[in-house]
Amino acid sequence: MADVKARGQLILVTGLLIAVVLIGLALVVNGAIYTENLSTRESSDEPREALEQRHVTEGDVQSLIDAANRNATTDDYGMVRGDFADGLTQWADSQRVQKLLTGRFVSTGLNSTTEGTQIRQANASRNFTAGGSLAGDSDWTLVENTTDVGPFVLGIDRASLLNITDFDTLSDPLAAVSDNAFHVSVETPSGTWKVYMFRDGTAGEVYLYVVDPGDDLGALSGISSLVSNSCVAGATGSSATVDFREPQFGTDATDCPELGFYNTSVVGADHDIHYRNARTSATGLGLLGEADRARGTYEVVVDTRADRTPYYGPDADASPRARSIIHAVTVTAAFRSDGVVHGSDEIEAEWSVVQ
Amino acid sequence: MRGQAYTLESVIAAVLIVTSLVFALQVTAVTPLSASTSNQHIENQQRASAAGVLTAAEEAGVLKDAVLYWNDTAGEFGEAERRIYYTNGEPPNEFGNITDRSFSGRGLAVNVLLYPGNGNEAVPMVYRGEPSDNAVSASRTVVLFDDDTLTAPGHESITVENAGTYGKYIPEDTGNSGSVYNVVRVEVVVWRM
Repeated sequence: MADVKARGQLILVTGLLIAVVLIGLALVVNGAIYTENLSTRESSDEPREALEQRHVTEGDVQSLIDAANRNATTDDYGMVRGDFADGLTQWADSQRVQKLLTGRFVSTGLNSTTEGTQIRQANASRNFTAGGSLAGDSDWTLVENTTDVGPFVLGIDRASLLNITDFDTLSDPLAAVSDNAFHVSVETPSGTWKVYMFRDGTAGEVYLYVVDPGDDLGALSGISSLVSNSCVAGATGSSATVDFREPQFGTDATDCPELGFYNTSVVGADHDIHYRNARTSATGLGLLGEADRARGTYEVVVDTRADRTPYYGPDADASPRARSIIHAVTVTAAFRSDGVVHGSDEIEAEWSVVQ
Repeated sequence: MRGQAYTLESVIAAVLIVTSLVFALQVTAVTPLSASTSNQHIENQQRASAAGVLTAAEEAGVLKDAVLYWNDTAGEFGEAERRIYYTNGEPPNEFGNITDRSFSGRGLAVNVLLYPGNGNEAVPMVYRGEPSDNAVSASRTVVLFDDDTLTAPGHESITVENAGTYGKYIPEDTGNSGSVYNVVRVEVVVWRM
């Protein structure tokens, strides 16, 4: 009987032991699942935050440049730059304080700024001659030694362009066009491009013809060949847009592949921009004596300081005028958190809008 | 008789084992609100959603518009009722739509707070009450310039610098002469109700 009692207790104790082992097993398995889960989880958001901070810095520095350019009232680069530097300091201080609240450290410092010039003629009824102390010059230089160009847009009064109707009857029609039609001359070390603009008063169409380096307008067979190789704007509207960067031409700005040379061969190279034949005085067929060969508006933003001689003062309504702006800025930035140190990058930002 | 006793004992032992097993499984059960791995995941996802909402709004250019969505006459956020901030929904602008699309109908509550630079107090834009212990947050900074205009309908011609009541809540950071008005941190706080 004593044996039987002992056996019953044994079974009971074994049962309890197994129960305890199973509970232990459940805890161990649960712990293992939890550990595995932790180890496969992304360790932290910190690297992403560092990159995000970089992105935010780029965007905000750009808006700071735009604000400084927008608010500049005088043609004084020192003032524009000072305004920008003040804004950047305030922004950087604020970023630092805001990030410290969440245990992150950021610092941003100004590294370099590049001066640019905004050249603009806003008076649509003025011709394309120079202003300032060169006032009235019909062949003049807008800017020398620029490399990067922002928007480069001309809004030309169609009626002001050279009318080539019946030019076929002239003895040398192409020379008449080349001597009298308004053109933009873009000079690079590897050659000069000339962008001619003229119209046919009978058909009402406006043409844009590009002479590539080494080529000559006189080498064409005649007016019909000139017209057929041009970008054409149909007979609608009173002004035609020439956009070098898009590149587009016409009243409703349609694609003009001829202008593509500017993006592919000029931007990035040191180049000069000139206007030619803004006003000529030839007489004869279609050449009404001294007359404007282009009137309208234009805007160019370049990455260098343009000579101010052909421009009027910095007042907003002066045409043409040139004004100092900040073209580009580099800043150094550092980001530190518990697990990430990301720093001393040169972050670059450019202006986006100049009003 | 002895055989029956043994059988009974073994049956009791088996029942004990099964009961222990069931008990063990019950005590480690995971619910969405228990402090466990799945809860951590939900918090991570909510934080990522909140950061995503801010990024999306900023990329679309509507985050700044929302910060400037101010009714200067009434001295409150545009179309806010009773309080200067929104209590019963998201702001009636694109940022509000983005927030609404991301969080509404999922049992989530959202607060949006603005922290002006220079140590000023937080200004609520959307306030749904005190967040729970499981709340998560994400934030982004927005730069306001002196010549930025308010965006609430009817007040678009007023710049932040000249606004009458805006400066009471988001004052100009006067520590500097630059064209920056203030740098505001927008914080989105999300939690399960």
